[in-house]
Amino acid sequence: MQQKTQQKIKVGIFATVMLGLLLVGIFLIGRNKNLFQRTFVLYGTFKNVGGLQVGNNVRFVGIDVGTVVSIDILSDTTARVALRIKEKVKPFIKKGAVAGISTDGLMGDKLITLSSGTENATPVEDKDTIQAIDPMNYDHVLDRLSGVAENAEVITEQLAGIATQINHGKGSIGRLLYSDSLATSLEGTMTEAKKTAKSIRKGSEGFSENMEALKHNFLLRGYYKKKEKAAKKQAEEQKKEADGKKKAGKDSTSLKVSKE
Amino acid sequence: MRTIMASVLTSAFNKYMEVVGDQVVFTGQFARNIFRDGFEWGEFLRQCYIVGYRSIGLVAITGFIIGFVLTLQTQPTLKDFGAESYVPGMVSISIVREIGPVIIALICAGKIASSIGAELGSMKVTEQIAAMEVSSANPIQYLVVTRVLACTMMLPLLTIMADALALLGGWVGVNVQEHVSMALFFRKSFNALKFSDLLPSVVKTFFFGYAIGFVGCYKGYHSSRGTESVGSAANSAVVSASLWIILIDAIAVQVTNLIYY
Repeated sequence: MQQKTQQKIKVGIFATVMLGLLLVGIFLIGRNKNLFQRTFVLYGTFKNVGGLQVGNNVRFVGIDVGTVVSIDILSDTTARVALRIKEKVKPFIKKGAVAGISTDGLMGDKLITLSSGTENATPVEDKDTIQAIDPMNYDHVLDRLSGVAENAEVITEQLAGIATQINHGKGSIGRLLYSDSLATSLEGTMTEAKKTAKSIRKGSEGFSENMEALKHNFLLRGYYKKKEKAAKKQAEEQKKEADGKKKAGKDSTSLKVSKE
Repeated sequence: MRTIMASVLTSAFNKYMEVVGDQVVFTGQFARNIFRDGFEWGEFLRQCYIVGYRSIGLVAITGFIIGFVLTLQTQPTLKDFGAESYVPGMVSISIVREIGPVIIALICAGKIASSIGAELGSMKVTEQIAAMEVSSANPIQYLVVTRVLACTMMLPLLTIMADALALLGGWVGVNVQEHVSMALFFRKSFNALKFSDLLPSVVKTFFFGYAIGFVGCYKGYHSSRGTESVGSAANSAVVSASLWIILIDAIAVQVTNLIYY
């Protein structure tokens, strides 16, 4: 009889401890999902939630403060995300707070990040809707990139065509690089240019001789003499001015010496 | 030739259907006797002691080693991917959702279903069951209902214990190479878990327990009269119970996915 009682006690202890463990497990899981503490709800409206799922974390200043509780489609372009957030962080989340969707770590878990909003604004209320920034749409970026790649392909094709034409000596650049006749004609042109320069030099020498002869001509001699006289006069005046300045400088130095 | 084949197939089919019919009748008898007056509480608690309390050691060691080994096996691979911080979450999800319940149920099938099958088989061979029927005692209520219910109630508790010890084993496994505090390991483990992981796995262990108790009782209760039938009852109880556990697990996964995902 006593053995039976002992067996009952052992079974009772075993069952109690294991049920206690189960309750602890339920409590720990529930605490992560904010089931056993006071919470409030915020809404954010996104055009694209980028793979966000119910149960993903909500992070505020780097701390997990809540979870995503529901994602509902409002229209063909908008989805409303409900966030369940701990009551104790409510005073820190202001009216101008912005919700964004970002990625946690390398494994790509999505999460909502909240910015605190403007400092002097009033804190958010339960069931408020806050501003939301749509996540980067990688499909859109990839579409744009594929367009860029197509353009680059066309450009490289065209460049390759141009290079081929140049290699075949076609076009101005091709002829410049590969045509001997152009070089020959250039050489001819240069020779001609040298000859022309020589004849121009000869011409200018003859012209200066002619000018010299003109100076000695009786019709123009008076004009050139007048010009010479005016030039001499100007030179003399300049010389006089320079001498006057030198004298004035010497006088001032002699005065200083006498005072001493 | 064709007629011989047809007769062989017909007899095999009839035999199989007879067994299925027997099991249905046995289930009905079991269900009726649960709610009949004079429930054997004393025997039920004794069976809880034998099935549950006496299995603690085996289940505890198994659970601890499952967690320990799983961590040691997965840690290097996750380390290669730079995802070592996911070890606690991965261990907890795989233990709680699948490995813990199934392994513990299979271990219990080996220990409990065989012992029930052998016990009832030997009682059948020595005509103790027939004697109970003659003396107007209800052998189904006394022997079957208590054992099946004890298995059904105790297996979830054993699984919870095994899960907890597997997480502890996982923490020890991580600390073989690195140093991670117990608080951090358990926090990360429970962060990864959801109710949709815990509740279905607890519910399915009731079905595992029922399968173990029912198959053990059925095989023992319907054993032949020879001495060797005791051994075959124990053996087939283990095999059938293990098969039932795998089947129930497959069904449970489908049902869980339908409900939660």
